Amino acid sequence: MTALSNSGAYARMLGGAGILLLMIFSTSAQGNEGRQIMEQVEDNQRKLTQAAFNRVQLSSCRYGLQNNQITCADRPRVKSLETVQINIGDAQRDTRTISIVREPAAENGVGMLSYTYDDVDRDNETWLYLSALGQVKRIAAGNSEDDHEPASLFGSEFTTEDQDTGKLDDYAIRILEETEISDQAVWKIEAIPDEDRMRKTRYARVVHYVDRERHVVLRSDMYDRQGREIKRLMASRIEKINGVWTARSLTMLNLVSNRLSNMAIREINTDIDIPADFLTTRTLTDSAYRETELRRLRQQIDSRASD
Amino acid sequence: MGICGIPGRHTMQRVALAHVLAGSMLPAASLAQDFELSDDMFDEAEASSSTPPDATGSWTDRLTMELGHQVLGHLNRNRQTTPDGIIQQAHGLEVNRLSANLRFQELYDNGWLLRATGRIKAYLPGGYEFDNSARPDHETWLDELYLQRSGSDHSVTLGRQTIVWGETVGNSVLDIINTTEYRDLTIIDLEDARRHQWMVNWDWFSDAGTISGFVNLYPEFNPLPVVGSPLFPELPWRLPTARRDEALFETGVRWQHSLPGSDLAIMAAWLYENDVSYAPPAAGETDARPLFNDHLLLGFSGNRAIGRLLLTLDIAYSRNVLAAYAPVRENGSALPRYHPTDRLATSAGLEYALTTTRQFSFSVAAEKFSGARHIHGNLQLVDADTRGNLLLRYSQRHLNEDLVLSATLQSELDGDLSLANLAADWRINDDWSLGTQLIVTRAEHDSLFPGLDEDVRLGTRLSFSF
Repeated sequence: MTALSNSGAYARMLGGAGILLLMIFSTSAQGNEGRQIMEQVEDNQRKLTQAAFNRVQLSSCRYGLQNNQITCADRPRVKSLETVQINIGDAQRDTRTISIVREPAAENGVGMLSYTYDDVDRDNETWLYLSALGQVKRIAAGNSEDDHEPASLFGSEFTTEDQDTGKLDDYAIRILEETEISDQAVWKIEAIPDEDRMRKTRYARVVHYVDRERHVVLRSDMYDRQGREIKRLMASRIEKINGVWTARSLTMLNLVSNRLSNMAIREINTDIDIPADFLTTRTLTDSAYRETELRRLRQQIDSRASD
Repeated sequence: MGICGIPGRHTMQRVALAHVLAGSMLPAASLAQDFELSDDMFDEAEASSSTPPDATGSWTDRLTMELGHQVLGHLNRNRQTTPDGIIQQAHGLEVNRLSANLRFQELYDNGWLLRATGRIKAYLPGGYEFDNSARPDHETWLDELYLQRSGSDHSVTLGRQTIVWGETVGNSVLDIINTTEYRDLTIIDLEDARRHQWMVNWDWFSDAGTISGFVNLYPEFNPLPVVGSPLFPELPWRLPTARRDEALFETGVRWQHSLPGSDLAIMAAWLYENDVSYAPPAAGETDARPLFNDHLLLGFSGNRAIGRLLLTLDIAYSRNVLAAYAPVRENGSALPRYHPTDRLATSAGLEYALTTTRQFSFSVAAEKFSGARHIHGNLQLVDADTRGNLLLRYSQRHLNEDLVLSATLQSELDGDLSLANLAADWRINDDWSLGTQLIVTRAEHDSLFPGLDEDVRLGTRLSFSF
């Protein structure tokens, strides 16, 4: 579990749970048992990452404040993505995610493959395909022993550190208080990495605001080792998908660079018939295979809609 | 679940203008402030199309084009010392060209895919390619043209394509399946210099790894630099276009496998050397004689991710490559002769993600010749039996990758020849981009390109995509 717990399927688009995971909610949160809330959050989240095919829009811009309202200060740069993800492993607790850029046209086909492991002893893996290089490149971007950020995801403010699956054992989790944000009653939950995890994360402390009524994480504040808030994740457009409340819009604000990225889930489709082989490096390079399988996935969704 | 509507271009322009105006007035958010966020603004900024390019629409929807104009000129030029004194070469424009890059990809039923990319270049006054007696003022290239058919476990690609072996980006001793063209100093990176070839490639995917094989029935060779290019070699004889008198072919096979934290591959191939060696002209002739040389390649490549550090290693053993030998004489005036020999080459590199936006990579490639055959008499290698080069890259991305600043240093290990390139690439919007580069070269008098010593070049490229 890192800072980026997010909602549902597109959480795994980033490769994982992390902050995104926490943006989902617990249906059985009890009292101040923060750990239980987070465990339930993961369980619920996996309902939306199992055999999922999503369409996502990633928008990034420099931001400013106007009447206490965050506003883009320049025209946002937009990428549209298609993401496919499956849960694997004995307990279906590991996730494989592939994301393919569709727009802008110049980047069409650029892809990223991520394997995220629930096991705290196993680092996540990421591969990237850039047509200019003509080959798949393993990305060494995470879990380093300093306080710098890992690699960005398609140039956004979301990073590969946010790919970490739960790994709850690596965190001390507690409920700080019960409060309100945006007129919503929330649990304010603090997650602090242990010594081992601290060496692998830029976030020395994360505070999550979990909606008590809908059990959605509405906001996460990420702090560095000096106690400065460096990033903030804000969730909106809460909807119930497959019986699970989830946020369809996530905005990551980089409070140091004054830039933000918004991840908007245009479509969430779960329980799709996805061959496991699709979540391999082959899909990054084999255009015919990738596009043929994606076409099949789209046809599944279309036929489901027509039914 | 539907897709939101697509705003028109005028709407987008108004939104952009509003953002610019707003940006001039807005204060930056401070760390301590609480603030509200309305994500409605991202609805306005929806991508130009939410429909995957290969899904529907006419064939023109799958065609993309980039138009560009590139210029490069000298800020400083090499001074050549001659018996008559020091000659300062003229400053001025060196490259002035227009280009159009086209890309088309079409997916057909049953897993067939057609992909084609090509380029057209027009040379303008002032550039060394303009009014060149050796070629017209425009050129066309067919880069890619292939049909690909993929099934559940197999994939076959037939046509003009590239095959990349090795892990060390930009400096791999195994990345030799395709030829390269370094026409002038505007092309710095191997990725940009790689040329496609007509081949059939087959991949077999399984849990035990991927086995790939290729056959090239028309091997090509690295083209010579254009006459007038700063990289055109100055030789006492003419280098003719390589002409083959017999059918040539190349073939190779590779097995790849991924382990936790590592990717490994072993390969073997029968290849022709991409650089054609030229023997001195026969008596009474002026043209050098091209030598096509085939050789056996055995290779290994691997990488290892350790946190944010990625280590790469490529090893290539080549049997029967040509190396230039000459009699041991003090005056060194004897013409070289080529003899088959063996070459052990390795490239090792590291890549390190300093931060989200800053990356550093460093690699070294070296090769050693040994085991020369068919040598009689007192001969020695013309060049050192061990040589190599280094490649250092640093890049820093800003504005969510809209602005990329990069520095590249290439140098031979003995320091005889080196090149530094500072570049800034600014993606103005989805359509327009602007790139600039400052190139500094240094060369010893006994290096391959002594005329590049103390040269400084500045260039820019403006491109429009649609």
